[in-house]
Parts: sequence; structure tokens; C-alpha cells
Amino acid sequence: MSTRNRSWLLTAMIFGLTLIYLTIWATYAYIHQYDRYQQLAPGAKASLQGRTYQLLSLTQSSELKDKYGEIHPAMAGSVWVIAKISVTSDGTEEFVDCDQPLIGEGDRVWEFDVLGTPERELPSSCSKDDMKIGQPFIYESVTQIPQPYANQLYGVVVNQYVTADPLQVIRPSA
Amino acid sequence: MKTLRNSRLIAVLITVACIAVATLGLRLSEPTEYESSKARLGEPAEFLGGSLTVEKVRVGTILTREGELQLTTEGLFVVVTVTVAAREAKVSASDSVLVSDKYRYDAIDGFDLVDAEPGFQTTKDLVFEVDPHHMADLALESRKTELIVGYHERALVSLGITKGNAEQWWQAGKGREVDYARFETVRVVE
Repeated sequence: MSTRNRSWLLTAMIFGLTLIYLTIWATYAYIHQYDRYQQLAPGAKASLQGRTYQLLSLTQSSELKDKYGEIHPAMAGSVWVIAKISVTSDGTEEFVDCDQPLIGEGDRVWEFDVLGTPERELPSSCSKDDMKIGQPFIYESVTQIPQPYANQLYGVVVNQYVTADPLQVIRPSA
Repeated sequence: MKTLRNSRLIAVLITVACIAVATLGLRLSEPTEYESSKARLGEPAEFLGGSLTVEKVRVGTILTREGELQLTTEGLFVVVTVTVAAREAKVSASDSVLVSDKYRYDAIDGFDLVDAEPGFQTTKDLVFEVDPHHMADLALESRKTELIVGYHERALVSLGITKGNAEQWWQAGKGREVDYARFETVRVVE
């Protein structure tokens, strides 16, 4: 390759990297100009890349019973939050995401399972092998949150991928 | 030859222009408030909307985990008990190191991340191995590295080891066991 071509190739690489950086930066700036979350109507389903999610119930409890009947009290000052979710896949996506976080007032977001959750009757995760195309698959996400925030929950955030679109928040039927 | 010189000149100009634009982007996104929060042992340092507190510092040359021997050293193990509290968003303190003007000690593998979900506080032991003759003025530095906005928030907490008392710390730790907890503990923020 000639010196001239190498020079232009280097320039193109630097230009490309700068363009990538500016695109990410501009997208980041853009998505912080509006509400990042879009709360759907009670009981409404969220659609995402060939899948629909519905929050069947969102309950709270000071104790949690595992699949063996053992009772697990919540840690001092906190409550268990149990989200029962239905997901239906049309089979177009290889990966089915079932790790949606919980969101409350002030855009506080809690990941499920990070504090340790006992094994329950319903599955806490989902894979394509467990699901049948077009049929709802019901799973349960459980976590603990501080008691003062227990009455300030908005629902469950469906989108987890990097996207500039507002993230859909589903909630149970009224 | 003239064409080659021209193309090099254009390449340099485009490169400089790209760097200038990227730098401008960084400067525009940089908040005006502090980049680093400083505190002393036992005091909370403001960090990512929450806080980071060094609760206690212990030293020894024999490292044990809940009573079980792990490592020994010719230097000194420093076990730093850190509490990270999250009031609003999740707080993650990563890349924790001990630093002074001249020296920097990384945490022993796997011990440098402490995070807390909103409304919770997490307490964890971070373990470092230091040169006892170069430990004066050490501070725990934790940070969150931002790639996009180019803004690195940092907490810097002094451990209370000074030039005047560094030798006492070394003598206190020499030949002694120092124990650390295997797991972090999580509580609701008080």
C-alpha cells in the first residue's frame, strides 16, 4: 500500500472512530431530553422484538414461602416484592429476556434477585426451551426493597437493550 | 510529491478537527460541580448521589478469611471495611485502589467492587497488600468511570496512616493475623 493510501486509511479510521463516539454521545444526550420511561395502562401488554410481556400481579409481603414450604422473612426495614409476569414469544428471537427490573418513584430501579431469592414454585427465569411459540409462559421475579418505597412502585421495566426509545413500564390490572 | 504532501496535510487537518470536535463534546457534557469527594476515616464521602464510608482499617501479615488461612506476606495486608449507601440510584464503587502521592496498590483480585441498590447499604471488606515502608498518607480511591459523558466521579477517603504513625501501623500488623469477611452484608439505609 502506498504512503498516500496509508495516510487516507488512517484518516478514515480516525474519522470513523470520532463519528462513532459522536453518535453515542449525541444519542446519550438526546435520550436525556425526555422521560426515559413510558408507563403503560394497567394490565396493558408491552411488545418487544417478537415478544409480549404482561404483568399479572405485583404483590408485597413481609415473608416469602419457598417451594419447600420454608418461610423467609424480609430483612429488617424491607419487604419482598413479587412480580408475576407472562411472556409470549412468536419465535423470531433466539434469546428471551426475563430479567426486567422493578421501577419506582424517583426512577429508582431495583434489579431482581441481586439480594438472593429462595427457590419458588414458579420459575424465576426463562429460556426458549421452556417456552412454546405463541403460548404464554409465566414466571416470577422476586426482590426486596426498602419499606418506605413499597407504596411508590410504578411497575416492571420491559426494555433492557440499549435503545433511544422510551422504556416501557408495565403494571398489573387495576 | 506535491499531491502526497497535500493529502497528508488534509489528513492531519481532518484528524485535528475530529479531536477538536470530540474534545468539545466532552467539555460540553462535563458538570461544573466537583469531580472528587474527599473524606476521612469514619466520615461519609458523597458519591454518585449516595455515599461511601471507610468504617475501619485493620492490618496484619497473615491473611485469614473467617478464620481460615489464605495468604502470608513479607509486606502488610490492609483490610479496609467500606460501606456504600444508595439513596436514589444504584451506587457502584469500582476500581478501588489505595493511593498516595507516589504509590498505588490495587485490591487483591475480586475485592474491588462494592455496590448498593436504591435504599440499601452494602458493607464489604476490601483487601490490599502494601509495602509497609511506603504506606504513609494512603487513601482509598473508588470511582465510577464514564465512557460517554467523559466525567469520572471519584471518592477519596484518607485511612489515617500518616508519616508520623506509619511505623506504628507496621509494628501493629507485623506477625499478626488479619481476618476478612467472605461475603458482603446488606442493610436498609438508616
